[in-house]
Amino acid sequence: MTQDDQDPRIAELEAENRRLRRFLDEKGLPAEQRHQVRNTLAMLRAIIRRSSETADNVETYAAHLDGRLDAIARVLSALMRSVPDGVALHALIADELLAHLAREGDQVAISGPNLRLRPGAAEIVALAIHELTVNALEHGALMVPHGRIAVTWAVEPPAAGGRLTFVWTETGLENLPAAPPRRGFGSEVLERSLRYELKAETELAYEPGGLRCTITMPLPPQIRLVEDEE
Amino acid sequence: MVNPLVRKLENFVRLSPEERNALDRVIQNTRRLGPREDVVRDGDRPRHVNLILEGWACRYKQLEDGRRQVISIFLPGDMCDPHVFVLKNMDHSLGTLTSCLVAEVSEASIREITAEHRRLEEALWWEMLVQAAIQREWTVSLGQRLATERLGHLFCELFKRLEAVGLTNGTSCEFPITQADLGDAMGLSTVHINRTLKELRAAGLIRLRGRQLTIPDFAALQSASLFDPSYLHHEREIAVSAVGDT
Repeated sequence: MTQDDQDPRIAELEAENRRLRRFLDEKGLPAEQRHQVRNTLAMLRAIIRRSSETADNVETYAAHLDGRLDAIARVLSALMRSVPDGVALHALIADELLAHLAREGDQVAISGPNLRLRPGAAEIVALAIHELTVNALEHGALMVPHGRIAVTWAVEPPAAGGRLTFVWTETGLENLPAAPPRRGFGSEVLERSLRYELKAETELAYEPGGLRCTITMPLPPQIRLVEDEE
Repeated sequence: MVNPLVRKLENFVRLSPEERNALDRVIQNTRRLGPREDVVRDGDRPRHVNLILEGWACRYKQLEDGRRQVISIFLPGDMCDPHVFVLKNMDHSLGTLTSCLVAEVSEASIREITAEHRRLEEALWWEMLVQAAIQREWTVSLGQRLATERLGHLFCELFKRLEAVGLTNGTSCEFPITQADLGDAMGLSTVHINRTLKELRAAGLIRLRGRQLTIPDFAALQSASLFDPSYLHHEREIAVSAVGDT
């Protein structure tokens, strides 16, 4: 290619760039996007750091980190395409379990009213569900073929301003120890991050047949209860 | 009847009257099958190439304990492996999903038309490569796509493939398969399929009524399920519209 026909192309690209920037400015996207990117990066940094605190070796560290980044990537991409409704809690749970080969209707039962999660709540809830799933895979109901997971939630009173109760119950195991050998990143997310981000109270009950995790929180503005049409 | 294979291959290349006649001659020998019948079974010796003229069929594998994976869906105009006679034994089964009219194309006639018409030989290569490309997309769906994306992507693909053989009607097409079949194809349980369909319906992306699928806004479903139709290689359509643009 000669210098001559390069120049108009570059000029064209630059013009295109300016048009795009103008368009983004008009739509008011940059500020919002910058905000989103900053939040996401902060979350990733926290995940990377805190994963390293509890990992035994580089290999498990990388494997767990990979899983967490995948979970975040899935929810971000789902959020991007669900604007402005937000992602359905039911789909978030089913997809996370499916990514770990646990199929709804087979090993897993999921039920609760239609809740839509928007940015600010969806990411941390997705991460919490990811940690519960991975825990079930490594220490819980997904280790054994007859293990089962029931996930239910309710909002009381069923309106904005109500209180959300979310219960994850694993069954089908026997003689599990009363408490986990040590606290890892998972319990950190479930107990501390959820409280910090969403004012949630989490109770982890290690029963002989499997874990029961109960999370309650005031319904935040980023989580909306939607009436089902059907 | 209009030969759906001709319609399909014409998405790739324009055929001459002689080439069309040759393709019409090879579909003379037909067989009518009911829904859920096997066309050829895993382990059988393939005697001819099966070409779907009407109805929907599938390629599947069944494990010893009965679990079933639908590997691909065949629509009118689809050839179940144009050169399958090269293999001694089938490594999967072909079964109908709905009642089907299937042409049994002999090895001799495939060899004859491809020897006589270079362009048909190339078109059958195209057919085989596109099937492999579809298979690659299905692998991506099974391994990576979320449930709504899997179904949305499949709906987009089936709609485009039906459109290519003239079997769509505006924004609608026939959709004769069950939720259990969809589950077997997309690696999802029936419960999960059922809820995902509800989700797509509630978002206004699809309507399913009886055996009819409507995609009111194709672009919306396409972007919701990250569908890029280029893997279907309807190159002629693109070539024609590119000429139209200038």
